[in-house]
Amino acid sequence: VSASSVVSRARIGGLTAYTVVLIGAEIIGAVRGAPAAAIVDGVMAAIAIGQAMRTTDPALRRLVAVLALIALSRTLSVVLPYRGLPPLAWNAAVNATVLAGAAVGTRLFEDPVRTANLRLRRPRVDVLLAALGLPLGLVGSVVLHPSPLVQGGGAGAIVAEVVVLLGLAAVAEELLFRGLLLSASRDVLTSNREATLYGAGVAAALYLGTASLGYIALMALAAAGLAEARWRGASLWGLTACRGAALVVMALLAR
Amino acid sequence: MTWTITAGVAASTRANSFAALSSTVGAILIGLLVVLLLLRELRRIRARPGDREAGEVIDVLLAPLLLAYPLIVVVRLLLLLQ
Repeated sequence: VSASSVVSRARIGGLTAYTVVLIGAEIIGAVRGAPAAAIVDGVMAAIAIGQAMRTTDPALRRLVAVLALIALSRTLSVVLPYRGLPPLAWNAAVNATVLAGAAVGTRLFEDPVRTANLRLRRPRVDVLLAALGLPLGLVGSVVLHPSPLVQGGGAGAIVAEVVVLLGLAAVAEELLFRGLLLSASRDVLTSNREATLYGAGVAAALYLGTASLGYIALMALAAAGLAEARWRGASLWGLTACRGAALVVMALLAR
Repeated sequence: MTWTITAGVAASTRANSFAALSSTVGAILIGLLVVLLLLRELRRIRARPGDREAGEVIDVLLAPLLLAYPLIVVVRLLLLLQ
């Protein structure tokens, strides 16, 4: 058995094991409630970070650390007082912590700017993506019928929604999933297509708690589309504009 | 129902006892935070080959934890004062 085959097997084994636990925690959360899922995620994050510290394989270290961050973000969203905060403030707090972890996570990669996808390489693709966010939000709204994040309020409330959804929620999600997770999983799976499918599967699994098959499917398609756009030259800004526009449209239609 | 990436957690949290879950999960995270801080300091003192990479891995989880705890404390204090 060659050394590269052993490394490859270890990488796939690590990816499979932690992904199964992550998705399993989401299923537990959908069936038994967020507390049970948060405990599984918290324990997984601790074990994963221990392995990421010990391994000498940089690709496996990056992937396991990113999966640990995703698990920790689920746990933190339970610990942050949902009942004591208005929904918009709770969203802002959760996404700020995720964004902090994702920003630090880019340092695990050889080229953090490239991993975060900060450079504008194909502005036309970015503009097209931003425009596609509007129909995505419209379809999401029809499929999910979300309740409003802010009850009433005037222009100030709308500005706050836009700032939180575009500047925090969308940036955090795109940096974590289309930045870190896609880059790390491509290094392990060695193919853009496989990384796209894997990233879409993980992202969709995190919506299991919505209990809407239509919305989960829509998010899987959106994640795959955004990943494909990233491989074709879209920047973090274009991806964020698409996801953020979709979230803002849903927020405005829910009011 | 909220509908960002944390939508599932929000929906489920509404349906469960927040006090019970936050104390259990919070205890796990406080333990994790303490262990990570200790490990980071140990690695910094030892400075062996590979410790820099391990330190960077620790920072990935420390950053959100260190931001979350002041937020939790401030929000809970405000709730107590209400």
